[in-house]
Amino acid sequence: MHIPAFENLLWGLGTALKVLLCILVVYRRVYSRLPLFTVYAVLLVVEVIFVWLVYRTWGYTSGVAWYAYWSALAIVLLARGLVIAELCWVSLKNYPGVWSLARKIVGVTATALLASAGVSAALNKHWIVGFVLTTERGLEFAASVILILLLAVSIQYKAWLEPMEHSILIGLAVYSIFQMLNRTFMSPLMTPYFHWWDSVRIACFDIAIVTWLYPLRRPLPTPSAPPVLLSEEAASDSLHQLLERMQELTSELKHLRKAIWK
Amino acid sequence: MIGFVVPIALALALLGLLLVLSHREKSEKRRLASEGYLPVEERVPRHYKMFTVIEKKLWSAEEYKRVNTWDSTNLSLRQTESKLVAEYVRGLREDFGRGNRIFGAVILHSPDVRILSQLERQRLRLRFSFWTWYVLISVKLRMNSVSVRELKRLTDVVATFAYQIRTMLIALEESGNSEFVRSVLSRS
Repeated sequence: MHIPAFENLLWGLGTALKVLLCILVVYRRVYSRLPLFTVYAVLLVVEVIFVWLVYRTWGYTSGVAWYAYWSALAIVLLARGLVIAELCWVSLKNYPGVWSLARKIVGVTATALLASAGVSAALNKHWIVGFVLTTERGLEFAASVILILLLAVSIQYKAWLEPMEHSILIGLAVYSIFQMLNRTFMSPLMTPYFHWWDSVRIACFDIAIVTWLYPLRRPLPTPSAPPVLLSEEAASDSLHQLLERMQELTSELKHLRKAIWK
Repeated sequence: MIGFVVPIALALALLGLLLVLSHREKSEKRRLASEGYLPVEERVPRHYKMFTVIEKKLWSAEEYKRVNTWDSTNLSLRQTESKLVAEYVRGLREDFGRGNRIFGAVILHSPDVRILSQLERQRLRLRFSFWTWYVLISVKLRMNSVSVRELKRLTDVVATFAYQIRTMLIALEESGNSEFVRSVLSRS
């Protein structure tokens, strides 16, 4: 199979970036803060080496190569899903109410995603292809929505993300959004018109890796002090009082509005 | 065709949203950094207290003294008064924004989803009320007109909200959570 020189170059660059990311993640001790992201970074390199070795040993068109490729893809995909869950947990763990809501959203999304992938796998002749493709399609959309929601929540409540977490979020969100476009432009109907899109597809993951590498160029800053928290009792008491007052205020405003429009 | 258009439109919308949020995040961080040295009194709503001054100034403008139904009449403003009222309304918007941010920083600590969602619902209602009045008054101001009654209503919304925020902060401070109050004010 002939691969254009430019795409070969992008592939080589991507591999070099993955290796660099893996080294820097371990060197900067990211594992102490984000263990699942560290596993994901290592898996990216392992995937490349594993698939390359299989292709070399058994050939690109062999059955072993086929299973090796799809299995590796499934594992990396699962790891990416776990990184998103980890990102939500690290960013919101200090806020029980918001975290409880986020946990429900992520849990329901993951269950729906796995259930639809399971059904698709059962219906597909090659179960692993059905499973991976459906999971990937759902994951890209769910991931971009969850990551954007996480960013919106952090801005709304001023619960700022640490630089590393912020870069991971942006990188993953951009990649997921581009993957949604990839699925459209890489379909058999569109490929003849957008043959250059394959290079875009390869390059967008490289862009995501560069986004993750950026904060790792220097030692990571010490995480900012955890927010000052209210005791659960105090929070519950004052928030209930606040809720009562706000309810009074909104009903007062409602009466005012009625009086004015009369 | 629709099979291609929908995912592309969806992806572009998400990308646009991501860009808007990133821009908002940057500007919020810049604002917080620039307000780092503001005294506590300026971190809470305060412009609404100027209402009586504004009303007096409008009253003292000659032509309005003849108006019998002061509250409900749409006053046509001259350049000077129009500017003054516009500045006051902008101040109210800033007050509401500040109150809203403090409110957000406090409810972030909700111990469970139920109370968080109830408080968020109240916040949304209040926001809706404020923005309805704000847009109404701003449109009229563009035509150099204002009704004191409407201005009073908008001030009422902000003042009551500010009062609730103040009461809550004082209650928290008195219950030994002054560190928490300081952190909320510096983050909002």
